[in-house]
Amino acid sequence: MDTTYCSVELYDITFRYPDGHLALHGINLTIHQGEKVALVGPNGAGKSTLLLHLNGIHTGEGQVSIDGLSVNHQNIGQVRAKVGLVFQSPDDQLFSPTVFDDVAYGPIYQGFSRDEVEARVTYALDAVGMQGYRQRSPHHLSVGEKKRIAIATVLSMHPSVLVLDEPTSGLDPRARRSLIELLRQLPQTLLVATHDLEMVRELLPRTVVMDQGEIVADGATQVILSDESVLYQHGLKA
Amino acid sequence: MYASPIPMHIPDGFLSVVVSIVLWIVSITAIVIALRQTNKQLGEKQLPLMGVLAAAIFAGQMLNFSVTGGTSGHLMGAAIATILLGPWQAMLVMTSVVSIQALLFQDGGLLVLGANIFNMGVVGVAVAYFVYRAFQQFSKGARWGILTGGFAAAWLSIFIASLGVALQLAISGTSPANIAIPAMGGIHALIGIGEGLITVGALSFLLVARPDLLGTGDSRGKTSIGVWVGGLVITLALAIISPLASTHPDGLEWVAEQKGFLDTAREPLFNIIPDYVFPGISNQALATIVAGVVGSLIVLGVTLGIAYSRRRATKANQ
Amino acid sequence: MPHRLEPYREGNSPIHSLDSRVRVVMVLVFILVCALVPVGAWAVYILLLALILSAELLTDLGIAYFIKRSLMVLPFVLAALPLVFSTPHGIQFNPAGLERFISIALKSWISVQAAILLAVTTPFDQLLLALRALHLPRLLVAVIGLMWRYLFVMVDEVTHMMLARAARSGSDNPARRTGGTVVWRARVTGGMAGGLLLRSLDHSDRVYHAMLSRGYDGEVRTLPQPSLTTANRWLLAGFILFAIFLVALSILFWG
Ligand SMILES: Nc1ncnc2c1ncn2[C@@H]1O[C@H](COP(=O)(O)OP(=O)(O)OP(=O)(O)O)[C@@H](O)[C@H]1O
Ligand SMILES: [Mg+2]
Repeated sequence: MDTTYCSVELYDITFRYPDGHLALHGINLTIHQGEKVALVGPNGAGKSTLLLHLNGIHTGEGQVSIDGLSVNHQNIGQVRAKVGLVFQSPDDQLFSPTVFDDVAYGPIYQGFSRDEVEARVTYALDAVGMQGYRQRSPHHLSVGEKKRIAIATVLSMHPSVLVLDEPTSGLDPRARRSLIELLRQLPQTLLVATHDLEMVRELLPRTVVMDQGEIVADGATQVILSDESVLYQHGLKA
Repeated sequence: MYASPIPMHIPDGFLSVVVSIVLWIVSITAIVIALRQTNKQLGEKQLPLMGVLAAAIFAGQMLNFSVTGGTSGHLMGAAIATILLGPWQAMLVMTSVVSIQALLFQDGGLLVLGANIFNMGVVGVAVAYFVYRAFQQFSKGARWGILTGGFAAAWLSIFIASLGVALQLAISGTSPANIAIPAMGGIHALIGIGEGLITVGALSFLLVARPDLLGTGDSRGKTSIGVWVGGLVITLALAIISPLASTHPDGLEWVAEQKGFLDTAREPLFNIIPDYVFPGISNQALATIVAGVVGSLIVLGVTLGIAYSRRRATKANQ
Repeated sequence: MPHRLEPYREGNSPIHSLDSRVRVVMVLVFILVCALVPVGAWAVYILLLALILSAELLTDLGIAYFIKRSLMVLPFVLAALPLVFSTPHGIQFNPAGLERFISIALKSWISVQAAILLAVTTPFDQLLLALRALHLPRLLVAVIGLMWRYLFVMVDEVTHMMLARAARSGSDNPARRTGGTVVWRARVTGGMAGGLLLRSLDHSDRVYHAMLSRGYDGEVRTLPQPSLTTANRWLLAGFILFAIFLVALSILFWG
């Protein structure tokens, strides 16, 4: 397989939290350009920890490459521009007085001109269908709106990989539906950690199952989600 | 481990006992008045508000931004607490923050906790209040008044508090006034800029999200004239005394003499004990050696004691 | 699992099983003694160090644990460093200043070890009880108690916000100047502080309602505490007498 088409490559990742807890153990994972992948597993499996490895916020043993670029101290800025990481709680992600300021954070940090920043914010807000919210305070938005803005804050950086941590948690059915439609339209490589198996069936053709810091299954969503023994064994069904 | 990044928490050992006790008394007085005032103003809602906000200020002190070459800017929070809560509650919030830092994280000492409460809780808050209110009056509550007032309040509260710290160190004989005052003042004039900018950022956020919160007491009652004047007096006093003290370090000799007076008052008390009570240990070097031996014996004794009781415990278990 | 910032370490050592009120007072008295001992009274410093090291040994946590944490007072020692080089005649080496400097550093180091001992062997609720027993105003103690309850929640929020900011702080073109201006970065940080404060205000409303629904009426009520046992009284009295003796002795010889 030609590695230049690999969007994300994880090679033998092992990670221990400072308190000694072994959160990831020997993770190997390859995701190709444009693939849409679900990361599922019980609470505490290590999903969030793994996502934080993709842009070098955590660095354990092993090797992470994004678009063929091996993540290290020198190129961490480039990696962070390529990987758009959307945190589970949008409150943590939205820290500016207005929606505009928040979506503009990445482009301003990247040193773009005023016009370019403006263009990128417009693009990102269009993509999530929130153009009318520019001057609103993120604080007063509904959870669903906050999630959309949180996605816009990374889309404005034009990432090639989009990584989302539990995007549908806390959404009502309509907000959840419209978020799924939004994600379906995005061209980026997608890696989504979630407990929402309905969404996985609908949106993400490939599923990776984690448990206790290891990958225990990886394959077509249809196959994995119809394997009752896997589902029961790893707490996806009770 | 946690350590707050603002170099304003004085550890134990750096202030003389007299200075520590005087500042304890001042701080306790301020706290008692503040408790009475908050009881009057707010009723029962104050408790959860102050508790959660104190936690937020503590956590907010961990926020930082990179300035240059590995240095970073931080928030102390006295000004923003004052702007949000009014002076009395802000004093209690800052007192709680500083107390927790000392009691649980050894950030600032315990005997000198009164001084640290005074510097960050009383001086910081009173100065911030005086400056912010002055800007409010002047700008009639306009946006520019809130932002510039917030910056000025934050900067001055840090700067003046640091002058207070430097003077306390100088009076305690820990650091010469002609060095401590310019050094502390200089560093904190810079740190204060970070404080000011973060405070302005926080205020801009609140102006968009909840402009109703930015009244400092107006929405919750009348201006606290007492604190306002207190802030003014503290600011003027420290701003005038500090340059004087640092250019005329002898000026502090007066204070030192007062302490010398205490020493002489003490002497006759000990002169009552005749020298022959401790025969043979009049030599200091000898005393130090004896202490070394005794100290080692104590530590050794405890170690052996622990080992012995462990052995007995394991034997008993078998 | 305790939060990474939680200082208390469980144990059943003699220090842990001491009545917390007694422990708090003993630590405060010990630190007061450190402060009262005159400059250059090396013999007394050695004794105090031996005492605190013994107490640390007794906790079973290992002395290294305490020493590592106690080094955090080091940076502030800089404030006293000028003593070594300043004399009334200008900048030159000053032996008396050096003696003073070393004394201050030692006092500070010994005192902070006592404070660490207190923090790691006293569960927070016990500390609150002790503060109440020392007659701190009840409202203040209650604020401190609530603050502790929400401290870790807030600290985690700040940690997450800073992670989220770091995750978006990158540039695909290493050649371009990145990071924005210092003022911009400071204001972004201010926005984070503002958001944190605002959410904590909302949070406090919810806490308030939860307290109301459990019968809170603004009055802080607490259970009466058992009085100190006779053994503890003797221990405390003995320790205080010993402290007075030590201070008197040190002032007599070195004052
Ligand atoms: N900061 C931390 N320090 C120590 N241990 C941590 C930390 N964060 C997470 N862990 C531990 O690492 C393990 C993996 O946590 P992680 O958050 O990655 O799980 P997760 O799969 O995302 O779970 P969830 O479905 O609940 O979000 C857990 O056992 C957790 O307790
Ligand atoms: Mg998770």
